[in-house]
Amino acid sequence: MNRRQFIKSTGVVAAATAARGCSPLPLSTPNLPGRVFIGAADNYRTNLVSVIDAGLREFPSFNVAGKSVLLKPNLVETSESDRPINTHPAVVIAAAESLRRAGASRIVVADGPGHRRDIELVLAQSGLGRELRDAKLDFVDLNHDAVVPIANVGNRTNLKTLYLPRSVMQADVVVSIAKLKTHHWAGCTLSMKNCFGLMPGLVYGWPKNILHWEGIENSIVDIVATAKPQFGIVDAIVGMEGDGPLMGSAKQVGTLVMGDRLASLDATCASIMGMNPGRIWYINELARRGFGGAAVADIEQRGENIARFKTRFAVLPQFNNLFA
Amino acid sequence: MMSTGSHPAWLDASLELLRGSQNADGGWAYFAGGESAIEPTATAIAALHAMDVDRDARRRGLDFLASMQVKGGALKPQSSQADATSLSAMAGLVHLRCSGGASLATQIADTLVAFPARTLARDPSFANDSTLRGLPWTANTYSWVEPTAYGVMLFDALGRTDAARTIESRTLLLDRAVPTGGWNYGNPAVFNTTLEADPLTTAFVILALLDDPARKQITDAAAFLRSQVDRLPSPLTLAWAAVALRSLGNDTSVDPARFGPLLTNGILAARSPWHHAAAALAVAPLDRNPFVRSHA
Repeated sequence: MNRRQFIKSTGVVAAATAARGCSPLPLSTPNLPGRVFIGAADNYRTNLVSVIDAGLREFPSFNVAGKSVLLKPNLVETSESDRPINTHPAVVIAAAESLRRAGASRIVVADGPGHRRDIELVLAQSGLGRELRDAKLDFVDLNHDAVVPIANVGNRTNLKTLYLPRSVMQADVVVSIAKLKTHHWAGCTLSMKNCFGLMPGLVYGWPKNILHWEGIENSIVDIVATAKPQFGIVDAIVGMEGDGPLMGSAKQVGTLVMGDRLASLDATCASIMGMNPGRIWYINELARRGFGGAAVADIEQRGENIARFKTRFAVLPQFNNLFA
Repeated sequence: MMSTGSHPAWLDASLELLRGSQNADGGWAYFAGGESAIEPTATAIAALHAMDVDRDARRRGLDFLASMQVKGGALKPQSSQADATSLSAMAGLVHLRCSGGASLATQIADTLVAFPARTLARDPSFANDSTLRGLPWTANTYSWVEPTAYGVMLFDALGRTDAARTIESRTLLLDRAVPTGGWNYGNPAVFNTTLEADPLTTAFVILALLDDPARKQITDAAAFLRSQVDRLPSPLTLAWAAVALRSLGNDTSVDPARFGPLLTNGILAARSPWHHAAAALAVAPLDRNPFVRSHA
């Protein structure tokens, strides 16, 4: 059963059980052990393909051979400054190359930025457009794609149905390629918050405002539980601290972090930022829903030692509690 | 299928792309091969109307817009969606000025004038007055700059300039101006940090506030746009910047020759009726552009 069939089947089950007044999925699943790979990459001139190749070898059950893959970077907007707002193009292109080597039958890059509606502008100004052309990779604007209704499996918001872009539904595999940043509403934005960009602006408005009113953390749970991204890569070569995700400052970290269970991946990234993942509600909520454990004991660390990269990120004062 | 005269090659190519990408339902998609949607359809109709070509294609496009109406009110964005959107305002404006009838536009305006919008208590760290209601993208959310600009354009075109929602929407737009000129898509500041203006949003607000082009927010916004146009790499944003600046007077900041390579080389623009239509509008006669207040 491929990803498209899997989503559809769980959606049908969810709708049927919700109609019976039952919870569509178990709300509490034992935390599944997660595995996270931490690769060293001092800068974007590093051979990132080899880093990602090494990471993929740690996840033999993540098999993309013969499958269509949708890569979802974090494209938000561009700036007059050189603040590291978006996933660096070099990471996106390297991930595509690695997955191509791993046998993916088709790779597209896709996003629905929360702020700028003219994604051509973002692609050009971020430099990603030129890289995509050189690598002969297609791009899909998820904000303006046709949409498919699907039962909301997460059930944390009041939204009974979520509309996903047709391109997301048609992909066998979705890979979230996030940027390691602080976030002025959610504390931090990592591979799961990045999935806001899967949601079409034509349905949810800009900046996906329906989801903001439903609660950002609740929405993260619903989106991830329903869209089921299978893999994550976090661009932590240069992150953003302070008033992220737009107005913060660059923070050198020097690593790419990868994982096939996104709660475990994000918990690891939060630890790298000096945060206590136990303090981040949505990570723990998705951990208990089968997206990988968030506690240290639940995560098998591969690659470099996490201690090498841990560095405390500055945050807005309202998020100082994340470090406790 | 006749053009009105001698066009640059890129414009002829854009008009040909529009002719070749109209879907069987009469609408146009954001990107060729996609689902018809009201925004690219309205933009394409406006471009063909402004160039005074392809009357039959325009009529089928207008019929598509009408087919997106939800419960006799505003329009849904595309067939695969269910709920009405404030993007209806720009589609209604085009329908009003290109169809010769006001019925659909009036029904859209009647819905949008009562479109539920959330407000927030004032917070000094956001700079703007968050108690004001303009138009949200979708019902029961916060008001944002771009949909509010569309709403003001439609309400004004229907003679509802002095209606309470129009006045409040115009007030919201003026209040949201970024101090350095222009408009961000949302607030001028968040947590005491001033945000940067967005040229596309800024262009739409200029078009919405042409009732008094001498006001400071407009002159500042025009200066912002002029500072941007030489490095805008997208035909869509460049086109709307050109329309906005031209609507303020004899502005020649945007060199029309730039559209050709941008349309040809764009990652998405090359196959986008939305981009090609906007580019055509950028050089079309202003007095036939449905988005410009002086439209005849």
